[in-house]
Amino acid sequence: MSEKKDIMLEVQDLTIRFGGLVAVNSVNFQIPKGAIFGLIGPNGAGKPTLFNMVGGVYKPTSGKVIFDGEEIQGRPAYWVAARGIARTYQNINLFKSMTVLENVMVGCHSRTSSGLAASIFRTGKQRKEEMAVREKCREILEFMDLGDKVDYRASNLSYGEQRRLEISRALAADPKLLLLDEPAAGMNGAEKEELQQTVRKIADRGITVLLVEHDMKLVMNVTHQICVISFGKRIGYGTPDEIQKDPVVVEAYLGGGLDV
Amino acid sequence: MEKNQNTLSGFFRNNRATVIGVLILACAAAYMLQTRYLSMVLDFICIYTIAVTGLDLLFGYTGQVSFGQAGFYAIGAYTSALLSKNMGIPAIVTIFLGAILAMIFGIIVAFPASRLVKHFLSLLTIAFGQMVYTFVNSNSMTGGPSGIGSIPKISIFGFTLSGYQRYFWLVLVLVIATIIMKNNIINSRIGRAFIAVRENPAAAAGMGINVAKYKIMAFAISAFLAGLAGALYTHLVGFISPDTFTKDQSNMFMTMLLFGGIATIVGPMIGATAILAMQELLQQFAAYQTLIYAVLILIVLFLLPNGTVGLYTNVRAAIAKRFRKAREGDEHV
Repeated sequence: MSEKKDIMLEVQDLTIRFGGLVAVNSVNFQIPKGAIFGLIGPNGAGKPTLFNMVGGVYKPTSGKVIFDGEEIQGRPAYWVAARGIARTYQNINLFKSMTVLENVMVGCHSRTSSGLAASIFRTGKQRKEEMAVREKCREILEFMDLGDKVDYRASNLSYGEQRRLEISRALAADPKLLLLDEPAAGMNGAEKEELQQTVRKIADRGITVLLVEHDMKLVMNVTHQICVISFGKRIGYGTPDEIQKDPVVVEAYLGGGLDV
Repeated sequence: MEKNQNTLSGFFRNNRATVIGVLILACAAAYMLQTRYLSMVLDFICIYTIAVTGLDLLFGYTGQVSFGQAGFYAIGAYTSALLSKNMGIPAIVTIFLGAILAMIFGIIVAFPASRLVKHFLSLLTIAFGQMVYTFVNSNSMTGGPSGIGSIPKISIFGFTLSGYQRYFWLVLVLVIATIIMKNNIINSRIGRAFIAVRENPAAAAGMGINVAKYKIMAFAISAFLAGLAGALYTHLVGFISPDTFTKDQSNMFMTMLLFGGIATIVGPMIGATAILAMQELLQQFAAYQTLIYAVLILIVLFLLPNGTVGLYTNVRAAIAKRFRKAREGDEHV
């Protein structure tokens, strides 16, 4: 049991069916605390589905998701988020009409507690909390290199900046586990390089990272452990070196996808 | 851009537009209070502003449409009328009891409503408004179609607010309280949750926001304010009948909001004033009221998507741009 204590997220026999289609078929993996964990697989492998079951968007048909010792499968997304799993989205999901700072402040929602009455009457406690939130969010934006964009509208940021803002917003929730859903999609080489640094910096803060990504180079460079799925099934599991030598994985990618 | 909020002059400098606006409003109100008729218009502006502010929190900020606000307005109006007339409870208390009952109904409606979006939500709210209308129109307790008359006036510490002029001070206090409340809500964690729910419910849930909870909360606040407005209407007019609480009333609130500008602080006040002024000026065309609303809504949708407030913002931005260009031109020469 002492071993379990070092596991941030454990997925046990996780399965989901949509009608006759088994999108994810009894997948198992464990993410150690503090690790950067990669989830990869060819198109249609069921990565986003698996991801969404961890994030509480889908309810698995069977199996367990154990987060920091607690079963969370089937819980609603907001509950899961409040427990300490923050996420970004594949197709950027920012609050477009809000400013950059406000977006990040929304991220603090589950770490603050002022209720309706406190907000209406602007109690001292509420004002103090609001100031602390502002301060914290500015720091996060500084950390994510968006310090000079705090008052911009989110929709006016460049693509790469919007991706960074999504990560900033997720960090504002003080997550124990950060789910990054294809963060490199649509990024150029330089931006990807930067993203790699960012992911490492986040891990250095003690946050465990689960990365779903198409870009093999990024995954191989940055992760400690990888789980490969194809057609909903786990076909490979191990360190980046092991994965690259695994004939089954190479086969699934037809040799082409893994050139690093 | 160092903001100095601590000194009085700093406050004026940072809120110049607000200060000027309040002064203009004060002058206009002082003028209008001189005649009985204009005082009545002023009272109605305040009452409608309260109801429309509630609708703005629901629709403008949280993105939930409601064409049934007249239902909450009616619940507030009838509750306050019956409690003050039949139970002898002071009217200054019953207006809040009416608002609270409206809020309770708001929460009840919100449970199914929080699962619906767009046209399904519109239909549900229309149905709610019709249900309340049918109830007050057919129930003997509410006086049926003939309504309730000789409703007591509001007294505060033995001082009866009998005339339109005196009533103004009560509704003024309440409208200011409402606007401050709204301002404080939208600039808080709760307000950010409302806007997040409007902008992107999936992402809001991903940030730990319980979407259904905040949708219900917005419904509760808007129903409370609509109920309060209805109760204030009751004790101002002294007589209520179901005719006031038809879907036309709901549509009027929505028109006011759209015309003034959604998701703004002053939008509801501007909308309430403009639509009420139009109603008063076009009284001989009362039969065409719905048609006029329809035309106004179309104008807003096609030409002023952000309402009058949006128009002001756009014009100001355009002028600022022109000036900036002119100045840059000078510098080049």
